[in-house]
Amino acid sequence: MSKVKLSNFQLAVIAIGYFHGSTTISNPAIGAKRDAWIAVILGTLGGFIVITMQLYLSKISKGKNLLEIIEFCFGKTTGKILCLIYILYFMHNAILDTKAFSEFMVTVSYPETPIIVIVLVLIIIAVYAARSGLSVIGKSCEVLVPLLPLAIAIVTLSLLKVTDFTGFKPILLEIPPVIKSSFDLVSSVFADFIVFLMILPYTNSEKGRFKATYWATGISGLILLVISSRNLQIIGPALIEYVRYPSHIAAQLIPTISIDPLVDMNLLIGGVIKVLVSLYAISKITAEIFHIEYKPLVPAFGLLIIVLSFWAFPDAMELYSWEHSMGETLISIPPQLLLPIILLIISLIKNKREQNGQKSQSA
Amino acid sequence: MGDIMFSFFKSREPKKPKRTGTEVPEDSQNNSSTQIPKSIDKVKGLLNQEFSLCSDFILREVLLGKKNTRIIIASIEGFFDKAILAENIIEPIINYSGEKSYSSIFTLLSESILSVSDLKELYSFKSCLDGILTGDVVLFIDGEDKAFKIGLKSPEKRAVGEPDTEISIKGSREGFTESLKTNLILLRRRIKNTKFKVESLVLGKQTNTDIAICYIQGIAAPEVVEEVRNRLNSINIDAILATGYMEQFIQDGKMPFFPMVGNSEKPDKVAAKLLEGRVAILADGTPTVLTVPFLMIESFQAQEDYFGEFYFASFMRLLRLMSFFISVYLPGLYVAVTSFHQTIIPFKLMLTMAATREGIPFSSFIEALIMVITFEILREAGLRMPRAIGQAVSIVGAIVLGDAAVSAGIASAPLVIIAALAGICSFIVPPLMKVGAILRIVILIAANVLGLLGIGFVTYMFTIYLCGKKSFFVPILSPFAPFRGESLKDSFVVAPIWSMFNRPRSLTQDQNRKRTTGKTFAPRGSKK
Repeated sequence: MSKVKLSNFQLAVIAIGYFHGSTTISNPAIGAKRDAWIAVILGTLGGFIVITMQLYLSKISKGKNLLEIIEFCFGKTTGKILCLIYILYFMHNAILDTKAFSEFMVTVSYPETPIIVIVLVLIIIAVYAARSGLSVIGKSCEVLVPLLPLAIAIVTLSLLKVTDFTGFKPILLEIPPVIKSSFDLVSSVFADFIVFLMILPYTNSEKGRFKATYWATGISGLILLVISSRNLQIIGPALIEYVRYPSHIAAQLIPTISIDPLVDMNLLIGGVIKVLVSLYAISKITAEIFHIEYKPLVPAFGLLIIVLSFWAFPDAMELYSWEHSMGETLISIPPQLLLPIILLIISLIKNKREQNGQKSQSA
Repeated sequence: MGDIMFSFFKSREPKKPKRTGTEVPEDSQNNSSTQIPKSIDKVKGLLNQEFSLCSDFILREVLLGKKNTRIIIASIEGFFDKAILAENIIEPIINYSGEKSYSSIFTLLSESILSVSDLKELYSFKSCLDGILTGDVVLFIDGEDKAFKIGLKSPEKRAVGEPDTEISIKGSREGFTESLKTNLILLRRRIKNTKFKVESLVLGKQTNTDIAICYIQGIAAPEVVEEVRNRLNSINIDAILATGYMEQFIQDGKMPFFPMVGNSEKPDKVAAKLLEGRVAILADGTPTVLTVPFLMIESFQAQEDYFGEFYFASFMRLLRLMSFFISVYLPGLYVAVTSFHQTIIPFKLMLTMAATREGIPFSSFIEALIMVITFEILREAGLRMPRAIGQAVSIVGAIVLGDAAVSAGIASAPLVIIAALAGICSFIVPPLMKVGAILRIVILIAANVLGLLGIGFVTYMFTIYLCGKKSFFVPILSPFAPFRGESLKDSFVVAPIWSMFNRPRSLTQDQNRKRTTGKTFAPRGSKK
């Protein structure tokens, strides 16, 4: 096993970058319109539950990563086949994020640039970082992720002169959209934490993992809350439905100066971290299935992501309709929730059996 | 990036350890072929053969006592005062009348005749040659297979003066000189402690340059000292004419883009770095001292930051960081903004800018490139040209950069400001000046291709590159990545010196980190 050590601070920072990711482009909670802030709070709480479950799964399997946990529970062959689900799922995430980022860039700032260039920029950075190894990923996130909340703070503070809070009223007129968008938020943001099961075993203290992750989740939830309520206030509940990129519009509405392109650069950080973590996990799992070095696989999967992103989502509308359909939520349920629960139960039972076996042996 | 791309340069074959400065192990290794011949005529022949056509070589033959033992005094002219040689060596030998009894001619010479303080016995002919070449006087005696090495060196040297490259307003004005011994004394005078260790080494096959490794035992991490020793020993090169030659050999990575080894000409700065747990490498002939490990943040630190008001020092530190980023990013940002993101510019400014750009035939990228490169040319010219022409060039430069380019319609006025500002800002952080010049052009090109996204791309790539870099086991972006809260006291801000309780964690041994116990505040009105 490689002995890469990640500090808990680095873990938290990667997690914040990952959660933050592309949410500035498309905040799933926006589906709840004027009750978006309630959806964010509910979603974050739901996220805490799912993440606790995933962290607990990592904790009881003592230093095993995702692949090893699955192999431990289902045996070598079945485990490897089941891992395919995760590879495909992480691949889907990476494709979605790549495409979301590049479509955003093309729509907003670079209408005349071919989209492939934007995709390439993203993938080259992700491949280079993933190849450099986990400790480099951690360190680069330490430097760059603090810029994310900074940019949000700047935009939010510049727009603070708004004092009209009637946009929040009436509260909870319709309950189903709130529930739906909070589920959306859990499934597309927080429950993706499952990918961190490939990273968690390499952090340097087991104790701090929970704390670091909870902090990361809390901060990400807070950021989402700030963004969604700010956008609601600035753009207004009537208009927000028709705005594709509310955060961008909000940045454009800063009086006398428009710093939106600078703010959009944040997406590069968030988008790269999302793709990067998925890419790293995919390559690592594949490499461990076949017992090979993971580094040569990274560019290969990077290329695959580029090609698949064009194949799966040829244009922005396709992407939009997939993001907002139930399909995305549905296909993420098995890898995010069902399998981890099954894994948790099986490993709990197995651990107990082992303990009993040890006890009876010693007795 | 360099590591991956240039891995074919890796064929650095393992080298044998080089000679050390001490004579004993070398002599014990030497075989009989280099022994000093007993016959003085043979010695004379060998010496004349080795030093044929060396007009600065002196060979003086004298006779000792009643037995008329022949003694050869060999040396190189100019390393010492000839009068001292005559008074303390030649005169006593010639005047010796031979009354005392003695066991060997060696003890006689060393105990009764030679009135010098630095006397060593040599056993191999090779080390005799080295001794002569380093400026010592070597005495060969007829019928003996040993020789004396007498140190009389008082080499020509520059007086200790203020270095031109690192000026300080407050604090020491002393700078290193070309003489290794003087430099070591300058350091020793600041650290009067037996824990301050100086290891010596000889490098360079042709030049045989003296090298010294300095560190403070107990503070410097032993593995770093060991690594410095190993890397220096594995250097196999003809000449070490300056510390810069070694720098390229010992730095991490084959082709690092950023500086990986610190340079300084100021003894107080080097002493401070030694006390933080770094290792210094001095070479004879260079006033520049290398310090490792080198962290990026050191480029922004100045010795004066620790002398006065910490809030002002913090302000200066922030200013230096900011000016580095300005110098690197400003031309690129200008190009990105004018060609991709015009909306960022406030409307009134945009009108002025459009007016100034009206008659310019080039795109803002070409314009910026011309100005940035012109600035680099002027900078280099200012550095290389003879001082007498300086005035003329700077006037021409000012006019070319300032007025003429604008009125000739080659560059717009805002761009002149930007190029000049970027150039001047780059002087604030001298260690990163060269890197900055390249980065500025890289970012300029990226900005022209993809606007802000291009700049973001380059920045991200370099961040990842830097995060992967280590200088002697220490990540060079420390204390930012990996994040060390405690060390932030001396990063982009400077805390008061009494509150920097510990030495930097990444550099020092763990058990010996306490630097100060802080300051005790006397209650108001209390007097001793």
